[in-house]
Amino acid sequence: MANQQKKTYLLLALATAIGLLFHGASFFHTLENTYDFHVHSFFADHYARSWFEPWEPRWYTGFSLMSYPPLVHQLIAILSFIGGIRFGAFLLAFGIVVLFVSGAYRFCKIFTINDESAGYAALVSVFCPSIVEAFHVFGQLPMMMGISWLLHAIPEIYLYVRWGKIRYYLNAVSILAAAAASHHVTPIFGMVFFVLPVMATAVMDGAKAATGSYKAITIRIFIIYVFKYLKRIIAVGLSAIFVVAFVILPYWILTKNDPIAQVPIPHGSRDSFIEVFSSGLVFFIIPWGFFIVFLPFVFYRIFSKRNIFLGLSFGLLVLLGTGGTTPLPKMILGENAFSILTLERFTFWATVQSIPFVAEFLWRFFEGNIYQRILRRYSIVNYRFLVAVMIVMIFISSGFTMNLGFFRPTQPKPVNMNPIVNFLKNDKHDKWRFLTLGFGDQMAKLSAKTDALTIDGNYHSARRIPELTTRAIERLENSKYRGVEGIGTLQQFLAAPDVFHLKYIFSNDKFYDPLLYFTGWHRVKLMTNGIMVWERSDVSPLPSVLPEKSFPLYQKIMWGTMPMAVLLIAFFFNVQLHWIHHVSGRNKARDSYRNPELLKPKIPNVFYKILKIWIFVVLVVAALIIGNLYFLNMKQVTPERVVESYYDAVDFKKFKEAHAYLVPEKYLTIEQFLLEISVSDGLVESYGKLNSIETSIVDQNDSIAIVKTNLEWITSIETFQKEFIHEVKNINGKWYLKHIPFESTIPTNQFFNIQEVEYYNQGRRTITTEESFHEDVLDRPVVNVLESALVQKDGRYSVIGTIINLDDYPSDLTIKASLFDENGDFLTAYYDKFHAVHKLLPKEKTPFRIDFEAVGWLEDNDKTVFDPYEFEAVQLRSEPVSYKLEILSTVATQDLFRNLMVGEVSTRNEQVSGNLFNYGNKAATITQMLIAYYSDENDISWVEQQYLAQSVFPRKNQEFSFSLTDLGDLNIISRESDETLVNGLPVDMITAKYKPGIPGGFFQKLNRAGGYFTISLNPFIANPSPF
Amino acid sequence: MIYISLLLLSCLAAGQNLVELESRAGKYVAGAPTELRYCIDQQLVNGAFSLMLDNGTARIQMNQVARGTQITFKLPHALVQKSGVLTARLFYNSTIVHQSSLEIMPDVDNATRVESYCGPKHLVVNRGDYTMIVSTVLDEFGNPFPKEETVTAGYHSMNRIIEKPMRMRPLFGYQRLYAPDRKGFGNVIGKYGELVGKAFRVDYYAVDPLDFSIAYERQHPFADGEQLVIFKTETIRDASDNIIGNGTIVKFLINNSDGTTAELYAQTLDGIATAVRYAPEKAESWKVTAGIANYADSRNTLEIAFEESVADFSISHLTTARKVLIGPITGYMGQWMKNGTVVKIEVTGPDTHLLFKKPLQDGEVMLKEQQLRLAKGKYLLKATVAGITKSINITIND
Repeated sequence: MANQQKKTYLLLALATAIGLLFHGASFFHTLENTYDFHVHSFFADHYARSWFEPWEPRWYTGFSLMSYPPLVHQLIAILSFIGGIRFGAFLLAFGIVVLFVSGAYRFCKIFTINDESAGYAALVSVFCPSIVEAFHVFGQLPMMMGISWLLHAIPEIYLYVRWGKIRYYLNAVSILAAAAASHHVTPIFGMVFFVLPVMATAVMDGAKAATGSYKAITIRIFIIYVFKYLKRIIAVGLSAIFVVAFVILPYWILTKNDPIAQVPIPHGSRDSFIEVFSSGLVFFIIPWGFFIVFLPFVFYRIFSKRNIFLGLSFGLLVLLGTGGTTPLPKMILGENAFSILTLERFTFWATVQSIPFVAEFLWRFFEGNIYQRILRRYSIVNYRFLVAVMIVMIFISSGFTMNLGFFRPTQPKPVNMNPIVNFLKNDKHDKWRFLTLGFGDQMAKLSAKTDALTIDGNYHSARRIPELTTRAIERLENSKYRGVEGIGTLQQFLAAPDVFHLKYIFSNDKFYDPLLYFTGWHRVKLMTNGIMVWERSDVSPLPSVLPEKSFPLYQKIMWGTMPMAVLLIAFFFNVQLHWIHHVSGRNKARDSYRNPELLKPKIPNVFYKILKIWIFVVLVVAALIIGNLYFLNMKQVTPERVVESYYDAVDFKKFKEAHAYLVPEKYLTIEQFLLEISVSDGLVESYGKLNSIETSIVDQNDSIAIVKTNLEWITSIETFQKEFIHEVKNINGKWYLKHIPFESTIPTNQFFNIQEVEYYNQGRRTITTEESFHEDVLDRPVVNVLESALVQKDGRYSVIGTIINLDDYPSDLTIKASLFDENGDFLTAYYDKFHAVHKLLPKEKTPFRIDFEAVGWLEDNDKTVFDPYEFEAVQLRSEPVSYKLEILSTVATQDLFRNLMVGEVSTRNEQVSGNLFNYGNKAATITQMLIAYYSDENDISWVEQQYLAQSVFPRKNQEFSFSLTDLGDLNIISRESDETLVNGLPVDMITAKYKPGIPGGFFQKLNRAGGYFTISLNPFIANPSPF
Repeated sequence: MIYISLLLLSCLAAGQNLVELESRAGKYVAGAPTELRYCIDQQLVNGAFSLMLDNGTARIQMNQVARGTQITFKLPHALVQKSGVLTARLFYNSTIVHQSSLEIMPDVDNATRVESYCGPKHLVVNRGDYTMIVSTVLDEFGNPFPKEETVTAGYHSMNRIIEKPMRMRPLFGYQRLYAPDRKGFGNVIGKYGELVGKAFRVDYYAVDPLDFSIAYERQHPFADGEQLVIFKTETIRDASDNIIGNGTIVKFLINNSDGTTAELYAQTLDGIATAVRYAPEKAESWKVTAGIANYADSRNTLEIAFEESVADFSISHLTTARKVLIGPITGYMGQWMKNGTVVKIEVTGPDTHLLFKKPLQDGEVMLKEQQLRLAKGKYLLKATVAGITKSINITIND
């Protein structure tokens, strides 16, 4: 017995050591790439800065940290005083590993057949795939700490219910309090799924002790014993409820006063795992991992008479963990809870509950009756083979899970934050809000390092502004992955940055570049870490005092002291007191919580049959999945597949692979192919993401097929469709795509110069941290509104017009229009978005159009693909009859490249065609054409935009064509604004001083029925240095 | 405590003063007052007093315990150096026991600085545009003088330096300074006796361009699609002969004889705007005008005619090679037409009408029968390049 106990403790020590090695060593390369790690670090940083102040202004428009249990964050904050936040977080993660392994051991001891298998359980808990996933993929430190506490509390609860000693009660409740302070969801659900079944098991064991065997326990006897133990059960239940309510009381008060009222964010754990295989993989197959093989044994043991209550809980957890695969979880949880909860945590708890039984199987396999059976029936060689298979399986499962982020990166590459932090600190840039794009969860890392505020955030339950809460987007930061809602919301922030005092954007993803440029932002600099800084002029700084929610002092004190206090109390009862009793030898607890069942000498034969069938089924399913993956990798089996594979490869910039799909030609070396790719540029090539490929065979014989291909790309500003006819050739059983020859005219001159005026603004000429000196502030360029109108088209209202820069300085425009009804009541206001050339050279004109957008799309929208044409007009109380224009202009110094010609323009059947010619020295990557429609009377009636998807290279042409819009339903409401303010002054003062403008102005008037139209150009130069 | 409060109340009610200001109230020159001294009743000795000082921009509270019947508060520099009314309220147990005010005046005998602001800093010439300088005389603590002092504005413009007395208002003086009719820059300063400040630079710019003439340059008249034709304006000026500002947008508009149009953006540099365009690929003529939006047009219209560069070309069906060869297409001196010159090809036959474009490569276009994907039969193939159309009958045998 003593030997066995020693062996058990050795196993536990070994498990802890392996746990620390296995998890600990990996933390250094996994933890910082997990989803939640940086968020928790950010919260910890908050406590390190201001322990008792729960208000955090740095995200959204400020939020309260009382919305998340603080223990983990406060512990990291304390540890951070030794070696910084990172150090604190890693150290705590090590601590959690130890806490979890020991907790798992104690929990499993209640259910496994003997102490040795509990030792095995400690080992299994180290490799449990769901635990590995929670640590290394999701980075859920609070949840892991919560479950560790819960597992430690369970034996104490068992002991109290079983033996009724107050000491166990205090132990249990103090640990539950620590669990509540770490992760409130764990003890709440833990009560139902862990504590209740364990208390029932204690009752069962009590009944067994009285009746002599489990067989003798009938339902009647069980109920009698329930009543016998009822006081203790109620005491635990009520205490647990009290503790969870009291320890994080401010959380509950906040939740009640400020309930989460926002559109649920889609989560993969609610998908049907069969339809969305990737969700099934991440939320079912990976967390179950090698446990899947042992499921029959888990069911066999967990549904034994003694464990039946845990079995019922386990069954429910497994079912709920299957998400939307069957309608059952939705029926059980109800529509509301189903759409709020993330269901992968049910799978997580189910795997934790199966640890004792997986461990027991392994014990039986290595030392128990399964081992003996194999030796008896087969040979030692067979056994050794099975041992090898078992070990390989366990290591592959948890090793793969741990390195999931390596195989499928969940985060962009680590960004060096220091240049950004310095930029924000410099020159009072932190007086405005900033936004990051394409940083992934690392945005929280940036926030933790700076005092500056961002309008975004990475804790979606705390979002407050309607622009965010009405949409199912987690962050603006990764809005491209959130389809129409994502980019649409981002567009609203970019078009009206002044509302949010948003001035700086740090972009790590050039996908957003066209969107930023055409909404009037400009590039400030490319930092040494490869991040581009974008800025918008004329954004007012944040007010010096920001609104903040104040909390009663008692709540602040509770929040700041309670978690540490409960931790100390739990330590006192469970360690200190325990130690004192142990050393003094008095009052030693001798009650046991180990499973009183006896090991059955034999497992029924039918179980082995079921196990074999199960393993066969698992192998077949695995083979099917692998086979399917292999087939997906066979890229050249049909003509359509090769075309699709080619475009896929090009889209993912795998040019070598794309080249391999082309019919080998002498001239088409890989170098030639790469060269051709490198000189293709533009909106689609550089900023587009292939969204769909539809292929159909027009004609096919054995050797050649003609494939019609319809492609659709999405970009941040538009979707593009294009049709290609491809010739596909069969060579030795594989299909190859025939390369479409690269056609390009050769520019005449090898070397040339151009005439261009460049500007420079010194900014602050005196190096000072004070406000800019008066003489360093440039005059605002004078601009004038030449004409404007309020129109209604397709039921929407727009304000259109033209603006000219009268000044000698180039101008950077911000245009705002407000609508009023016939009583003069204000209805709505909005800013220019895409329809304007935002930077104007002296005497340059631009048409503009302002559409009045609603805040958020209020209709249900289940589209997952971005549709840039999606527009939700604002709902107005009454009909607008008049409008007001406010134009702000500051000095622009860049994005003024205009060496372009729009030529060969002809209009036939309302179809316009022509070409753009670039006679400058920079490639116009994306050119926006603003088309202003005029009536015969020279009155502006509509403004539209078109993008040229291909780059126009220096001294080269690029063809374009577009259709004119039918203006049949256009309704002009007013041609004169109530008031037009330029830089805050009435426009009359400008017209009095400067030469009044001529509406229509100097443009090439292109005739169409009922009037004419003009084209203005706005080129985006991706690479501002000469091409 | 209750006793003292009641005592205070009763004394106040009876109009009896327990606290008197010993130091002087009333007018002071900025920086002069140093302390406030109060005489307090014996009953309040050892009481805790607080003095609340308020000058409208800042408020400071000072606490002190009375050790005897006199209590003295040192006044902070920040408050006594600022001109204006400084209110001092003495509190004892949240009750005001004394209130007085000091009127702090600027030190008008010691002017140390003239502070000026000037704006806008760039002015339009010829349009009565003006900048305004606002100056105020300050004492050593930066307090503006209240009186109407004689401040003058110095203005250096167009090689002339003038001085004008400013129009005075309480606390400041101002003067409008008008832009001349020539572009350039001037300097403005505010002066008070010997006191001066730094000069403000004011730029004058020209924005009213007059109509201008345009010209073009080319080396030969052939429509080879290769030559760059350069369009230029003369130096664009305003009515006072000022060259308009650099970067001003000039547009060249071209109406082509084939009905198409073109619009070219150009920026001025020293008043001259330049733009270029390739010569056409076929014989045609252009009418070119130019203008600056809302301000000026070109006085002349350029008429530029291009002669055809390609005289003729051949087109042949190479039946054995199963190819159609268009070309060689050669230019005005026998050279290959430039690569990329567009060849429009039209194929008509039974139930077939194909229309597509091919670029010239080394002076020719080679079409493979296979690529045309035509069914067996007879077809007419037309090729148009450089405005010349040639055709050929072809027979597809399988």
